[in-house]
Amino acid sequence: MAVLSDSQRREAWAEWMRGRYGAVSATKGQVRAAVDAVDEWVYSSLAAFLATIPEAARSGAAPLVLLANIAAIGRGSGPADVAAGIADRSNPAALLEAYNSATAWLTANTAGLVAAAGGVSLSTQQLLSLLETVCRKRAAAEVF
Amino acid sequence: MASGQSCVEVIEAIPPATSYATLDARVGGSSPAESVSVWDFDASAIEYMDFLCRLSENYAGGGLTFTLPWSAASATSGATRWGVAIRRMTDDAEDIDTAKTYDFNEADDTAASASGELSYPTITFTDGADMDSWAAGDLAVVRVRRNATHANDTMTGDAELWGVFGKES
Repeated sequence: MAVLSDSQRREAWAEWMRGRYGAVSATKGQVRAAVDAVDEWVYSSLAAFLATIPEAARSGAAPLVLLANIAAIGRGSGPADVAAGIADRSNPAALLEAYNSATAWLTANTAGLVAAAGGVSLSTQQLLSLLETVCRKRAAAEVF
Repeated sequence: MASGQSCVEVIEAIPPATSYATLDARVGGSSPAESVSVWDFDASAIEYMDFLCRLSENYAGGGLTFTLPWSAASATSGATRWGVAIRRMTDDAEDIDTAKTYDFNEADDTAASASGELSYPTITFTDGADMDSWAAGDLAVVRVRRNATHANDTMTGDAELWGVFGKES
């Protein structure tokens, strides 16, 4: 397990700033510091996260994609079918269990994420969107 | 022409071949909603927008002041560093096919307190070489950029340029 490289963190920072997540009072430097903090938080929290989700969802990029999706749901922008509880028609029980356990874990650990970001002027929803961006970057770059 | 009078006619907005600001729409809050065309300048990489302009025959040599009305896509703090440069298309002399090193005059401008509000920074040029010796009646490429990699550019998110105006200083 590792953290994103400096250039990958920069890409995540640039991608997040191109999104629209409401009014942002933080500066570019503060957002970049938040990206670093969120990536470090994912790195230090991933083992605990893996322990709470079903074994079938623990390999490869799956946990990061799951965490990214849960973060999206947490900020109110999850996929409509997932948000409605219709996760996977072919295997709804296992996937729904993964989403339920992951949601419970992130709900319990959101305060830790906010603390890790260290007072950056971002709302919880904006930090969750940042978590989503970092997790998708880690999944795409196979940093897990 | 008296100082303060408009003297730069914007003929056309033209994105350069690469590193261009992207055309977007800023949707307003009225009913029906306004949909203002803006050019989005990235926060992490320098992007440009070109404007084909003509300097009025009445320009009297007082230098130029450009105004760049802009809003922030989401930010409510931080500064954007804007730059303007001029390439005069001199009669039978300046060849658009040859490379030109644009010499930017720049200014930092703090984001408005709400992301839908405008700010109106100005960038000035003295008459002569500073404005590439642009002469009355001639065309020029007026290049606008956001110098996003400059240390003074601290604003997160896109900067939305609404237009460009030039007057005699």
